[in-house]
Amino acid sequence: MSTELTGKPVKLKLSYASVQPITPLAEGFTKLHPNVTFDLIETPFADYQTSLKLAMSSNDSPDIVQYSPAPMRAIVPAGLVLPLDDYAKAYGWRDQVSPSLLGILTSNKDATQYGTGNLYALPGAVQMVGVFYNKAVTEAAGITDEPKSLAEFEDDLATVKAKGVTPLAVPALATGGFQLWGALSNVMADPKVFSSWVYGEPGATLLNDPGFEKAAATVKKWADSGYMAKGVSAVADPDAITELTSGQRGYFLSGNWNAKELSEKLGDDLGFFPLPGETADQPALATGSGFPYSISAKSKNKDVAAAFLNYIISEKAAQGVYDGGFIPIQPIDGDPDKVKGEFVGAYKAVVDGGGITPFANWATSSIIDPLTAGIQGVISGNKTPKAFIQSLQADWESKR
Amino acid sequence: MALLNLRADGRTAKPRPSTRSLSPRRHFGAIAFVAPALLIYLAFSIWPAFNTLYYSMLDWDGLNAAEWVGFENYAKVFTEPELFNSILHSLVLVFFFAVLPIGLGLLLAGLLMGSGTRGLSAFRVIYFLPQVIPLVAVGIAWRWLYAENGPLNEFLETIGLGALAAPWLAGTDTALIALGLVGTWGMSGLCMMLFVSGAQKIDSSLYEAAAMDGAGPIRRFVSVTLPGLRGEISIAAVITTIAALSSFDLVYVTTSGGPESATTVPGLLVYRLAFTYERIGHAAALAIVLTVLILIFVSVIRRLTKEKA
Repeated sequence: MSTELTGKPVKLKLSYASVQPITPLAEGFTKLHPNVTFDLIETPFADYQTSLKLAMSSNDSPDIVQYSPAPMRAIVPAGLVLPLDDYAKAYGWRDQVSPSLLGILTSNKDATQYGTGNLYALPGAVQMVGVFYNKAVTEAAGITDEPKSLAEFEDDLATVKAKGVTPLAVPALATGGFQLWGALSNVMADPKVFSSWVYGEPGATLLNDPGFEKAAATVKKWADSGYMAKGVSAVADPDAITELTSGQRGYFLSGNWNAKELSEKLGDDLGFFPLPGETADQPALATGSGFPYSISAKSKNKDVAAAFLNYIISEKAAQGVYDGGFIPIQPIDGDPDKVKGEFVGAYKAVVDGGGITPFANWATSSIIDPLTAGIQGVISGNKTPKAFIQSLQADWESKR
Repeated sequence: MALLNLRADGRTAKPRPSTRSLSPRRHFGAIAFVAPALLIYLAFSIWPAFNTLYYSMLDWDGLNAAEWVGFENYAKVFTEPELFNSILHSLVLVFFFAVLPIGLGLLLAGLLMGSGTRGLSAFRVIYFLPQVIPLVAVGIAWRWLYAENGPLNEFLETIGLGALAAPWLAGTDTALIALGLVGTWGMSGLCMMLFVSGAQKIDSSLYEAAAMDGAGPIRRFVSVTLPGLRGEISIAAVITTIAALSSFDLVYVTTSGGPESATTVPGLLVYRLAFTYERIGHAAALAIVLTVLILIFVSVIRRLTKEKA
């Protein structure tokens, strides 16, 4: 292991899922070190998850892969991902990156528990969930500022509804429904309980904190109040984007992976804020993670790959990531662009406040099903909020 | 996957004429001609099918050490409500993908036969079009048609039936039927095509004889056309039933098995179990059960539609 970068020409094979900040990162690194070039292999997210296992077990495996917690549950125990701890010590990575971003990237050797053990990836940019809104819609309803508390947000939803516009776009066909629940859980329940549950700490449970049930009940209340359309269970992500940008909806809770498309369509009319807390002084927090990258245990260029990981978290990479529409790991000065600036500002508020909480669907490899179908049941009324939380806990326990 | 072969099997329609026995030399020549195709078939169809059978006895995540569990995975197929429900859903789809389209196809074929051949090719193109469009595109288009503010509900409101308008794919009681009707739309044209081409082979003297005996158009259809189409109906039933039982792409893009697992089908769960949940053994067991189910359906259909010797 060495932190010295070779002068010989090296080509790194790098495999990642779509909509990634990897292009500015790779280009930036090649500009600094012209002897290192990249072979970038892009795969759509859903297919990436399913193909990663095969890619990493092949003899021709990529040098660097985007880390994805679900498939890594099998890949880490098979010894195909390089533990980065020696590099982390040599480069001092743990001092440079927020612990709330690194937690999900560490795991024990069996990959049954996160937030402990070896470090397996480093993030190149931040993804974060919050509320996008169409200013044309909200201003037409007479709303002039962003809500400071959940009660204010509910008032705004009611105001938009009174104007005859369904306020909230919820793509509950896929992940949109349970992400709304997750965002509400962030502010209604103890985020530490939630993180320890997603990380798989022994004995973790959602059942003792009433906040999770309350969050599900709030989703139901908003559905019953007409804040979301009746048919949200058949609304896919692209449909929700169209609903917001066409002015049929005022708000859309989603992640900044959609920011580029939304800002291209809405321009200055696009706004963004993290879901506010129950009280105005509650520290801001949001569901999120980094866009993390790992080194293959089979790579012949581990030192070069590690040097690249060291670059992506550095200030040198920040401007390129920011220009690409993503939130860089290190803060940058000045924000000429409005929406990008709002992301960076919101991220700073979150890191300084309550921190980043993990995505619920990382808790187990099968939890996405009780999450998606479960919240659809809560919205339709076929499942009580309590039964929803119990089914999540049951899936979690079946994997321990 | 093993399932794909069955389509080819299902299409071997007519009974083969009896073959004369070959001399050993000619026998060898025949094998040489068959060998390339046979080897590819063995390597890419038969071998994976037996592999699937082997995987179905394992507890395996696809990467790490596997554990032999025998028939435990099969027990789960029948005891886990979600897996068993998916099989029930696919049986409902058989009605919409096979029974309804064959009925509609016969009706359309009968109407087209009656009106002579004028405009026949235009109708053929129109009704066959759904078969040409990839199912993924079909699914997205129908999701849009069925949407809460989509054309179907707008149409209902225009004709004063606004009270009936609903988010069809979002309701647990309507989603499976709505999906099934997409299948009906897609399969009816295929059935009609098969029946029209089959009906053209029926000896026209049979119709003349029936007409002379005083049979009207309906009677001629029932007594002459229908028996003449026995082979085509059999093929249509086999193709559409397999499409129903092994459906995946349409469900995947239209509802993803939702809402609340109301439209899960075995094909979708095989994919999820294998690639998302990392339960290769369960996925393989469900795939085998599905294959056996399809074989049973195909055998029953072939038996029911067999011509009496």
